Amino acid sequence: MAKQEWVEDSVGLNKRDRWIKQIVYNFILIVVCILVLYPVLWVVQMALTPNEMAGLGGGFSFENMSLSNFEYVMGHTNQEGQNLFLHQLWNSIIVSAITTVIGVLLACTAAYGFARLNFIGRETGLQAFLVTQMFPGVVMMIPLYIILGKLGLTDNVYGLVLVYSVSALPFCVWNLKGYFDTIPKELEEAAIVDGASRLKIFTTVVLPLARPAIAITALFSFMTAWNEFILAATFMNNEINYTLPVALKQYVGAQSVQYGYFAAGAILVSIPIMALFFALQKHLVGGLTAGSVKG
Amino acid sequence: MAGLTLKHIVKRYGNAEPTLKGIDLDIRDGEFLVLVGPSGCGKSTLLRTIAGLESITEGELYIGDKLVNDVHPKDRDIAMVFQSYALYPHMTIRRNMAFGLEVRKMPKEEIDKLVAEASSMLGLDDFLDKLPKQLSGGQRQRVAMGRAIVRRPKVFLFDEPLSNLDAALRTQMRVEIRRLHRKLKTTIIYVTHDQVEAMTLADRIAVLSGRDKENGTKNAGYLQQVGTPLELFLTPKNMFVAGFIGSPAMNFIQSSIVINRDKAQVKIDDKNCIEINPAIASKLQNNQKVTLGIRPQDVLLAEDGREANLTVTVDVIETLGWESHVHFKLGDHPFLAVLEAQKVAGYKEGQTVGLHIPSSAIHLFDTETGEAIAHGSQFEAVSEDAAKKAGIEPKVEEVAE
Repeated sequence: MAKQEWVEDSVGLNKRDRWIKQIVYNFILIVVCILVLYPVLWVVQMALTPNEMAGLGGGFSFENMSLSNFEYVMGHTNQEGQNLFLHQLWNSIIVSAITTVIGVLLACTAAYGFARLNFIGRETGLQAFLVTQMFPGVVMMIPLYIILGKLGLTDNVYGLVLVYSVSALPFCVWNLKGYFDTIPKELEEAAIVDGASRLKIFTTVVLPLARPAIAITALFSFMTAWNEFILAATFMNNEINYTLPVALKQYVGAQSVQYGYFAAGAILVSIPIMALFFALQKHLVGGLTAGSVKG
Repeated sequence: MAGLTLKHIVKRYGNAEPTLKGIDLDIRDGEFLVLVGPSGCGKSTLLRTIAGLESITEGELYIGDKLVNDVHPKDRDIAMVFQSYALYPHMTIRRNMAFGLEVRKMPKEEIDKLVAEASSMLGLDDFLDKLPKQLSGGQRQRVAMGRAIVRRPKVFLFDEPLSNLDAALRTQMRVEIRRLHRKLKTTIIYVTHDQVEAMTLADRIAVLSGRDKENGTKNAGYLQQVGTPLELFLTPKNMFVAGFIGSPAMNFIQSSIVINRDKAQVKIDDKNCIEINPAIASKLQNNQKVTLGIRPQDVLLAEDGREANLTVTVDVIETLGWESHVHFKLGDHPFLAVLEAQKVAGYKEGQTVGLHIPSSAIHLFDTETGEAIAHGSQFEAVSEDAAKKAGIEPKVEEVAE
C-alpha cells in the first residue's frame, strides 16, 4: 500500500485530479478566447448589417445580412470620380512595402555591424537606439512636419515612407542584432578561411540563417506602417493621398458615425496583414542553425 | 605545400598579460606538428593566429618564405577544421564542401571532381545531398575535414577536432587523420589538450605551458619543448613537460643527492635511496636538493634477484586487465606504479612492498627552476619496454595501400 502511494506521488496527480486540471485549463482558455474574439465578431456582424441599421446597440439579423457596406466602401469616389478606396489601398501598400524593404535592408546591415564588428561608439549607438524608443511618436510630430515641409514631402506618400522607415529602425536593429548574436561565430570564421568576403559571408551564410528574425522584423515594419494613423493623418491633406487608416477615420465624424462602413473598412484593412502573416508563418521557425556546431 | 616559421610571436588582448609570450617555432614542410598543452595555454590562439583569425601583436609569421602577418586568411592558402565542425547548416554536404571553391570561382566541373574525390576518400558519398543536421557527429567531423581537403591548401589547421566525439569514434578518427596525412603529405598543425592524441599523431609535438595555481597566467603561453613524441617522453626538458606527457603522469618526489667516494645516490628518506649512474653525478653536488621523477611504467617489483631500493605501502589498486595502476604510499606521499595485474592481484591495503627503480629510469629536476638536470636514460640504453608500457600507442603502420 505504501508503495502504491509513492508511485502516485511520483507521477504527480492521480487520474481524477488530472481530469480536474484539464477542465480548469480549458475553461480558462475558452474565457480568454471569448475575450479576444468577441470584438472581432462584433466588427464582423456590424460590417454585415446594412449601414442604416448598424449601431453600437446591434441590429444584426441573418435576414438583413448584406455586403452593401463593403460595396459602398470599395466603390466610394471623390468629386473627380476617382475610386478613393483603390487609391488609398495602393498608397498603403506602397508606403508599407517600401518602408519594409528599406527598414529591413538598413536594419540587417546595421544590426550585423553592431553584432559582429568592434568600433568606437558601438555601445553608445545601441543605447541611443533604445532611447529614441522611449519617446511617443506624437512628440516628434512637429519637428517631423517641419522637416518634411522643408523637403517638400508633406502630403506625399514618400514622406511617410521616410518617417516610417526611420522610426521602425531602432526596434528592427535590436531585434536582428539579438538574433545575429546567436549565430555561431565559427560559421563565419569557417567562411573567412574558405575565402569568402564579408559581404559574401553576410549574404550566403548569415542572412539565410537569420530568416526567422528577418521575417519577424519585416512583419513588424509592415504592420507598423500599415496601421499608423496619427502621422499619416497629420501629414496628408488630400483625400486621394490618404492611407487606409486615415480613410477609415472619415466614417467616424463629429456628428454621426457610419458604423457599418467603418466596420467593413476595418475588415478590408486587416485582410492584407493576415495574408502577410500566413505567408511569413513558415519562416518563423527555430532551429535553423541545428547541425552547424556541436551544441 | 609549405613549412611555417614563427618568429617570436606575441599575442596580447588589450593591456592584459599576453596570451602568447614569444613563440619561436619551425614547422617543416609536410610535417604533422601537434600543439599540446592544458586549457588556457594559448594553443588555440596560436592556431587562430596562424589562420589569420587573430592578429599578431609582435613577431613574424612566415608560410613558406612569405611573411603573412598582414595577409588576409583567404590569401594564406590554409584550411581549418574547427572543434565545433562549423558546417553551414543550411547547405547540403556537397555545397558545404564546395563553398570554398565556389567563392574562388573555380569552374563547376573541377569543383565536382574535387568534391567527389574528397567524399569518396572520406566515405561521404551517400551523404552529399543531406544537410548537416541529418548526420552523426563523426560524419559531420568528416565533412569538416572534407571541406578542408577539397581546397588543397598549403597547410591544414586542426583545432581540437576530436574533442566532441566519443572515445571509440575518437580512436577511429585518429587513425583516419593519420592516414589522411600520409596520403596528402601536407603540413598539418593540430591542436589538442589530449596528450594521447598528441603522442599518437605527431611527427613532432610542441608543448605550451598553461596557468598554474601559484602563478596564475604568469607562466602560461610559453613554448616549453618541441620534439618527437619519444624525445619528449624520455628526455623532457622540465617538470612541466615531464608531468604533461605520459599517462599516467610521472611521479615527482622531493629528494637530495648523496655523493660518496664510491657511489652516488638520490636519497628520498633514510630508508629509500636510489643509486645513480656516476656519470650523472658529475652534474650534481653533495646534498643538492632535487626533484626526482619516476614514470609509473618504469617501476619494477623487487623480485627475481632485483634489489628493493624503494619501500612503499599499498593504498589502492585499479585493475585495467593486463596491467594494474597501483597507488602506493611512499612515506606520506602518493606514488603510482603500472604493474602487471597478475603479480599484484594478491596485494592488500597497507601491505609493505619492495620496489626496484632502475637507475636508467630516473629523471632529476632542479627543484627551484623545474629544469631537467639529467635523465637516467641518457646514460644507459633505453628500455624499449618502458616506452611501450608508457601508453605510447604504436603509430598506424605506414604501408602503401
